[in-house]
Amino acid sequence: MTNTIVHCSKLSRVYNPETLPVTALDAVDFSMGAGEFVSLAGPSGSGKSTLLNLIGGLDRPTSGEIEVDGQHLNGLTERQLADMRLHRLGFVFQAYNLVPVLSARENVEFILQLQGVAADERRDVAMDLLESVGLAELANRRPSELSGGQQQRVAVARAISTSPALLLADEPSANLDSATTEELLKLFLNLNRERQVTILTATHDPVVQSYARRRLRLRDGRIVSDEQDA
Amino acid sequence: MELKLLSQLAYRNLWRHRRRNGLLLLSIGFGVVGIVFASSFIRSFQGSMQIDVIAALNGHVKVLAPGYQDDPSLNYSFELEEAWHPDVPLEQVMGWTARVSLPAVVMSERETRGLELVGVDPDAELAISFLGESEIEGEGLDGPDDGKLVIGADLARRLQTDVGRRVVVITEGSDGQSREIGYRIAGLYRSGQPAVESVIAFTGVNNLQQHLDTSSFTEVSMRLYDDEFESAAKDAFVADGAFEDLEVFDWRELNPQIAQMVALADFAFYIWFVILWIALAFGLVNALLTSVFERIREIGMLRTLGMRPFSVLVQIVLESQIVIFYGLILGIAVGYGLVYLFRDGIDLAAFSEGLEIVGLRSVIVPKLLVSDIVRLSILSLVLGLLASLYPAWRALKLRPLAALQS
Repeated sequence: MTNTIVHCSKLSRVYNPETLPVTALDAVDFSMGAGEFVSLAGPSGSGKSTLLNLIGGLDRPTSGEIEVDGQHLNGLTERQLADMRLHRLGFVFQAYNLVPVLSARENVEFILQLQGVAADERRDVAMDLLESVGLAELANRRPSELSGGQQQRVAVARAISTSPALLLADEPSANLDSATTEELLKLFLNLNRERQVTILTATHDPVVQSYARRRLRLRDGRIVSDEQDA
Repeated sequence: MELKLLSQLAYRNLWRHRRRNGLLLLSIGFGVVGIVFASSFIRSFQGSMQIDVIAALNGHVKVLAPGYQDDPSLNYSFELEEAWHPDVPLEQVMGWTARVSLPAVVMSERETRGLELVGVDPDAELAISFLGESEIEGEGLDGPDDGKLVIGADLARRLQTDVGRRVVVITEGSDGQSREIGYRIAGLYRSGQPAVESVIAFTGVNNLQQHLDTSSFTEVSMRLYDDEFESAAKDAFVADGAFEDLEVFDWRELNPQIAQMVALADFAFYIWFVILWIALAFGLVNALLTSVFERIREIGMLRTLGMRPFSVLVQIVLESQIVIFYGLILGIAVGYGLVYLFRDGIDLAAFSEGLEIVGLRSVIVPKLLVSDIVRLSILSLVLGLLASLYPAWRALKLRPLAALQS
């Protein structure tokens, strides 16, 4: 029995509840354990990004409960949510979202620096991670000097730099070509298998879904299927 | 640790828009130049006003008999022992002297005018009054026994007389009777203050006392090396047994209008400062707001990664402080350069008549005070901080998700 990293109970999110209510999530129950690699799929508007945002503490549910790595998110202040994201979560975005004025190494160090990790230790961790994603030689380049795939790999290195309880990836392959997508997914798979990084990704891409070991499908704010590899 | 990171981000963010932030830096720099140069003018006016009024026979501290100010005559004079000296530390005293100063009428062959006849010890005056600094055409006074007369060049012009000519001075003796004293004009002094030159004439104090049949003085005046000694020196005079029943004044009490103008100069610094900074603040707020709006998505990403809202605010404030810091360095350097360039003074002769009215000299030497630079720097950083709070607050209020999706 693995530890539960995410537990959502009767989770609902309704936008514009007073004026023109749009139900993005409708009483979703969902759990995932440590070490899982889960994909959220579904058509646009099905609620996958909303679920990801709620689990990431970026949005607040209209009703229902969320627990991430043993911490209830309901009722946390903005500052507490920021601390939760800083210490427990890693994020990979569709548009890479690296800090443009920092080098690749400084981007990987960024979250460690926010956590107050000493400079030497930060540098060692960052260089190890850049080595593991094959970008050690480009450590001093700024994002504008890297390709899309390279930027995304730096973003992954940044996301796992603090060994988060959960890595959230929102459409991580959307801006990548197929070859780079394969590279990224192999990296995810490698992180999941060798470093036991727990990954939850929202994606349209069937290739991404094929790499996940558990695949959830959402439609109209509800989970309609939940498949797990044997 | 996080402050170092935020400073690094703020500094590098400024370099992302070099032209915009360069122009902002230049505008702050030139604003600071304006404040520095204007304050150096104000300090020059202020300093020359104060020095001139102190040198105009007032000193920092002056002793008078009660009633003398209303009726300046020997009826309100006092004796002073020859061995008397002020009970003030020597290192604080630039000089002191006792004088006889009386209103008089002077007649030349062509004109008659009123004046203030002042009996002085010329050696003592060297250190403490404008007489020591004045350019003298002809001869000066040789000592307290000298019976010659030195008058202002402007008075000579008005009397249509000159060096070597004779004049008659009528004043009141110790018995209340008029004395007519014939003088040869030994010299004409030029003090740079026509208002003084037209009314004050000097002769030896002992000689004048003989003419007036008195051994008393109408005033004791002391000039100090620094204003900070003034209060203690005044207290020492008040406590001095030689001045019992006499009145002790500082230069402000004797010249309240000038004292008010000197005080007003301090206020003028703040007026200049506030006017220029209001203009600069709009530019700063505009640039910072633009910067925030351009980076909404980036700020959302930083918040998503776990940066606290307050840290976002600090980052924006730091950006403003860095620009202001460099603007201050630029502005102070250029302002100092300008003050140095005009170190020999700026001749405002074209406006000198107007300046005379308020007791100012026609040549203004800009004067930069370290205290003004420190005050300017601190106030600029504080006002810059206040101006950056609104853009920073806008950044602070961004919700991570909305910012990411913008």
